[in-house]
Amino acid sequence: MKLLTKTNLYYTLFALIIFIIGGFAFFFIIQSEIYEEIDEALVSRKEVILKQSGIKGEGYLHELAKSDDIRIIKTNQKSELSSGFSDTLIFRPGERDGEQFRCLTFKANLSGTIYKIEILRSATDSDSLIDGIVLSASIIFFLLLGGGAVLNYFISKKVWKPFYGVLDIIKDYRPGGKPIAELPKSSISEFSNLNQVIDRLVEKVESDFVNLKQFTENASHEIQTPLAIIKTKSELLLQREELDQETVKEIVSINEAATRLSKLNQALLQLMKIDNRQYQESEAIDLSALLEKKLQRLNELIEMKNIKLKTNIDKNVFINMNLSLAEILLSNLLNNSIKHNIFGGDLMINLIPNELSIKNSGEALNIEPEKLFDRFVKESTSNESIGLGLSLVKQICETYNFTVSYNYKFSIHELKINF
Amino acid sequence: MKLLLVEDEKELTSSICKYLIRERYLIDSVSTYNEGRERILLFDYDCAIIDITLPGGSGLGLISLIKEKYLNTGIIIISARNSLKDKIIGLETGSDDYLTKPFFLSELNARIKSILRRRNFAGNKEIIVDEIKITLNDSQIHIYDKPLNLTRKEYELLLYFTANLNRVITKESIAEHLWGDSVDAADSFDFIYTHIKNLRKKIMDLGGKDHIHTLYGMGYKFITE
Repeated sequence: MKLLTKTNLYYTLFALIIFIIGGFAFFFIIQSEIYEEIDEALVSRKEVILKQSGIKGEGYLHELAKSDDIRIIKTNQKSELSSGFSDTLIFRPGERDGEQFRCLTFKANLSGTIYKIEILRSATDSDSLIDGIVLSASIIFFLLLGGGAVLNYFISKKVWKPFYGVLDIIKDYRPGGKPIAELPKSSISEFSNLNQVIDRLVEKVESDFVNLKQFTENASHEIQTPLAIIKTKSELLLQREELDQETVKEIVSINEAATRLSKLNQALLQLMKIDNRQYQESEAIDLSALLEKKLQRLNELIEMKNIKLKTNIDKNVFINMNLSLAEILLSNLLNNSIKHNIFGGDLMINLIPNELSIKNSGEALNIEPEKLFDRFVKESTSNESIGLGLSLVKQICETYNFTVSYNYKFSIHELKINF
Repeated sequence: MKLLLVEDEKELTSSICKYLIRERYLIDSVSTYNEGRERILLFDYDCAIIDITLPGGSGLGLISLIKEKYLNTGIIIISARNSLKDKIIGLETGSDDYLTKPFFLSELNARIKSILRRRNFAGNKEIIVDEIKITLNDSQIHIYDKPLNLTRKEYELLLYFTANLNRVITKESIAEHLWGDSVDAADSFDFIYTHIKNLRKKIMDLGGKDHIHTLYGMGYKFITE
């Protein structure tokens, strides 16, 4: 939900509550004002009646009684007579709804005779007034709502423009990638603050990234040099004539361990580089040709293991990616399918546009299939396996949003990549 | 043959020198960019083995310098950097070969010999080891003047052996030499045994000597008289 939509929503809810409360308050205040007015009018009329009746006598009262808005009742019960204001509904013939009237009851003592006098005054005016209030309040409410929406639209277009500009710029930012474009200037202090913070942050991230990249790469290369010394020294040792069988075995183990360490180191460096998106350059890669080339190189190893190879490779399957990553991807997949294959097993490779599937015979996994792509998970006891091959495959696939899936059915492992 | 080795890691330099000493090369070994530069300006070399990351500068600068001065020097880069990009840059600068650390000394030796042969236009392109004669131009092999038919891999294997005569060569180094990175697809190095066996048999079938000795658990040795 956009910030403005959200504030708009709260604003509308708040306005609605205010209008309801305000409407009621308005209504009651106006109504009491009107009643006060009516009551005042009734009281002054009462005084006129009392005064006039005192002068003119009973005849005046009879005269008065002819009008609609006054009722005069002769009474003797002094005590029961209550005086004061009341509300009453009067139904006129032919009208469905009663009419609201305000009524003032009082008594008049005319030469010993007590009269109960009720004077009435219509209060209908106040009803229509209320209708008017509700209507105008609603109109104001909807005007505010519509006005708010229009205003917000312009505010978001104008005031928030630099913010969205900044957002667009930093959305595409990748550490080590293209430097970010200049952030749009804004006279609003929050936004110019934001720009400063982002600039500082990006600078820091960038320098940290470069440092980290350099550090890991240097560390990785520095490790290769002592390994080279171990390997060459052990190779030199092997050249000595006087070695016994035991010693030779130990030296060969040292040499092989150094090789493994070096491969592990290289694979970790590759993983890190993919993580850091250091394989930026991409080109249209002829996956069909690359696959054929890789298979040709592996042909001998396939034959030696007596593996029955079946390929179904569409011509000219092109894919946009980094060449190094494409090579690593295919090498790891193919090496995997040969290394973990059984003697005399099957290897089926299918490449169609958007899908590469590699199936190979093999023992069932000892590990859960979900863990297959985890780092350092080995599915065999093979010493040569470093346990990073499929992690690399997964990492590369994630980089390009390919999906990679694993399946095991009838002693056949299948790794499928959808581009 | 005169070789220049520019490598800042003393122990690696000593290993390389010790291994190559039997080949009767004259080896100048230095450890910094400036020393390397000095040597290059003073002498002409048949082959230079150069590390890229050197104290005082990049090995690539030395390569350009060699190429400016004496075109006929063969150049091998030895570097810990393994990326395709580094290799391409190295080869574009003018090096003939690129070897990633860590490497086998037998591999380095074979590559130096291969470069020296390629660079040495005057010399006849033949390798003669006892009764075996290899003509490099057409990849023909003769044993006591009888032609020997080898597969591509067996031929490469024989060349690798003749580059490292009378030395222990590990199975791993043979596998890497013949199959490169594809060797990762193998679950053991035992597969090279077949090739060794076939090569040995083919040589002996033509009356050749039993040159290839198996050193159990270690590798092989090509023995000459």
